[in-house]
Amino acid sequence: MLQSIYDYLLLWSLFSIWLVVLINQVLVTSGFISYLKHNNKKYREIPANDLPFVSILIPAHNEAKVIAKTLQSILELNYDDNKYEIIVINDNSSDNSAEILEKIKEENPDRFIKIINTDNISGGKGKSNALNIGLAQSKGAFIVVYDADNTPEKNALKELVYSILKDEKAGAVIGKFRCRNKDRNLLTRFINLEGIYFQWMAQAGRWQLFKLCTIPGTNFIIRRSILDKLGGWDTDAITEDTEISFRIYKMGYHIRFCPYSTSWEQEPETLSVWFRQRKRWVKGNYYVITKHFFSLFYKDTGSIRFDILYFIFIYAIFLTAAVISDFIFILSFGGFITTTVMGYSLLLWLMAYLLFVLSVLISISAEKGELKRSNVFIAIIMYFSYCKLWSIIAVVGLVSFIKDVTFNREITWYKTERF
Amino acid sequence: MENKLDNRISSRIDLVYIALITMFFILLIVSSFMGLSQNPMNVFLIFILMLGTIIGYYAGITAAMIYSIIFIFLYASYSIFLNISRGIPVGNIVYFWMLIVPLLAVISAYNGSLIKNIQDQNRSLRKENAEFVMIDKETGLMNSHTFFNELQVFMKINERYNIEVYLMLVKMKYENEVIRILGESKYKRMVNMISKAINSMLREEDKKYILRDVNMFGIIILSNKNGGKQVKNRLKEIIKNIDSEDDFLINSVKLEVQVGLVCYNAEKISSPYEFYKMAERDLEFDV
Repeated sequence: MLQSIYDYLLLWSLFSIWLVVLINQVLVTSGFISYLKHNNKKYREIPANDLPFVSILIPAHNEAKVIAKTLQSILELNYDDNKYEIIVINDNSSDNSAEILEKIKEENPDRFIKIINTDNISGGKGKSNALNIGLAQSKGAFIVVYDADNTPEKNALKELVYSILKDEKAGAVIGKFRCRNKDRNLLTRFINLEGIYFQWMAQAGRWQLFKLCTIPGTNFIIRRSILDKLGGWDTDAITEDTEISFRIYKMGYHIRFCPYSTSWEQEPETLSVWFRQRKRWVKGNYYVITKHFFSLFYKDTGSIRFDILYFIFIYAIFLTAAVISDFIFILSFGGFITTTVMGYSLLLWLMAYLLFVLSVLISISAEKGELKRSNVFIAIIMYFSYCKLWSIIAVVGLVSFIKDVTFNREITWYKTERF
Repeated sequence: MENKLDNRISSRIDLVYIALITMFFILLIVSSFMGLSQNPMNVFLIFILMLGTIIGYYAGITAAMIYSIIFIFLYASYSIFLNISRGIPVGNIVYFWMLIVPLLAVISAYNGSLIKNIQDQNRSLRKENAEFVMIDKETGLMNSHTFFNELQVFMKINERYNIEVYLMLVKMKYENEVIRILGESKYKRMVNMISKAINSMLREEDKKYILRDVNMFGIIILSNKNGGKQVKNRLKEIIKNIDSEDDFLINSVKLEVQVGLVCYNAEKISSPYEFYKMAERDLEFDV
């Protein structure tokens, strides 16, 4: 039946795609189990005098557009005012962030607000470095990080604290993030669905299956003792969160998923900003793969093996498979080559497509008010548009990553532009 | 606004039903024209389809979609496997099943959620309604729901203005025997007759209630010294002499009532319920 080299190539790529679909299937289903577990749970109150002292770090670099609102929402958290301090690391900003921050601090003289302004000598070396500067000046036994564009819900902090208190093996607890500007344009609607889907599958699903989560960069709580042992954040990493997650698992702790704590963040509203941000994420994943590849073979790696394998699988195998199958499809469509396996590649494609749309719909059905006609439509077109952009980014990111490694470029702030 | 909302839900249900009927019609046409019954696999798939619609209806849209993705994945993988290993071609029917199973499961889940929505609405409306209804439909007297509320008010009036407040409970004598001999419908007529008698005999400002759940009438009377006793005797007399013009069977049963009467005393009685209980105990002495 199989006649040419193309047939074998196609078969291999189809198998890779099938395998990815299978893994995502399992993740979505376990996300559903996790959803059933967490749904309908009542809010639990912690006695006020048992609340631990928490330090909230907000790294900011030229965030004058959003920082005031963020700080205000964190000041208004439903948590004892005397039990948390807010440390804003205004890192090497050239805008008027410093003035804005100082003004808010003056307006709230009885609150613990610390503002650290750095210049290009004392700081300016990226988010990890900024977080380390803040960490050095913090007092809390638990550290919470919010990005400078976040609006946490009132109970977000309380829920995180509650979760980490009741789970001693949890090195960190992560909450959810949602897209605040989801109704702005088509891109933010895509990002909104992507965010919900990713958290359902990757966070809730992995947590249910392997007790495995990765820190999403915002709205998470981490034990100070762990940070001290790790020596703070890794300043070489591009995506410091994935990096620190891996190191937490290697220490024998796990990261817990807490779906009750939600923070709303601003997502890119233009394609170019989105492209730069995602390129950084992709490069961060490449960094993690290359750095941790060999730990696949160590005994103490534990459940993060899944993540390393998953990354390798997605970037090294799935993407090439997708490109090859698209390529062969185009060639055979143009009549340049003939393949005998075309028949079920259509079936596989339809399967992948239907499963993708349904999985997105499943995950948005868990969020109140998201399962509506417009979102169904967006899920239907997402596969042909938004997902294709991702494969371009994966390739561009790889090229850029290789360039970075060979020319040894220095890590600086990868700033996501605000709106 | 409310009306608009209801209309929207009901028109959606209509649409969903039409969609369901259409889908089954398509299924029927496809299965007869494409000879589905020849392959036992298709019969099994119809079973899968039915299971999906049932799961969707009971467990909701998310469960229906989870069911669908598991089905699609397994079925498509199986078809691809058959194609590669045995060269069985992928027929159109495979695509048909891959689309119709999730569609029907989701439509049925949507239908279920709409119906559940209406049921919930109905339940809460009924509950609200029951709380609002204060007048008994058949006798025109106020019902037990109002009774305890107003009893409290009269107790307060007594405490403030020192007017005597009587609570009178009226119960048909040999009630069970009456029902057994005459049947429910005649019994109902007798109850209505008693309520008419009570209504005509008492003053407008005396409060009359029908307490359906305990088969009694409750009467609250404001009076001076010993006023209650006189009312009690007169009431018993009148009811004894009731006769039904058109029903000799009712006349043959001697209609008699037991009456319990208590005068409110703020020192002995602290709640409407206690007040009521004392009157109920007094019933026993009326032999």
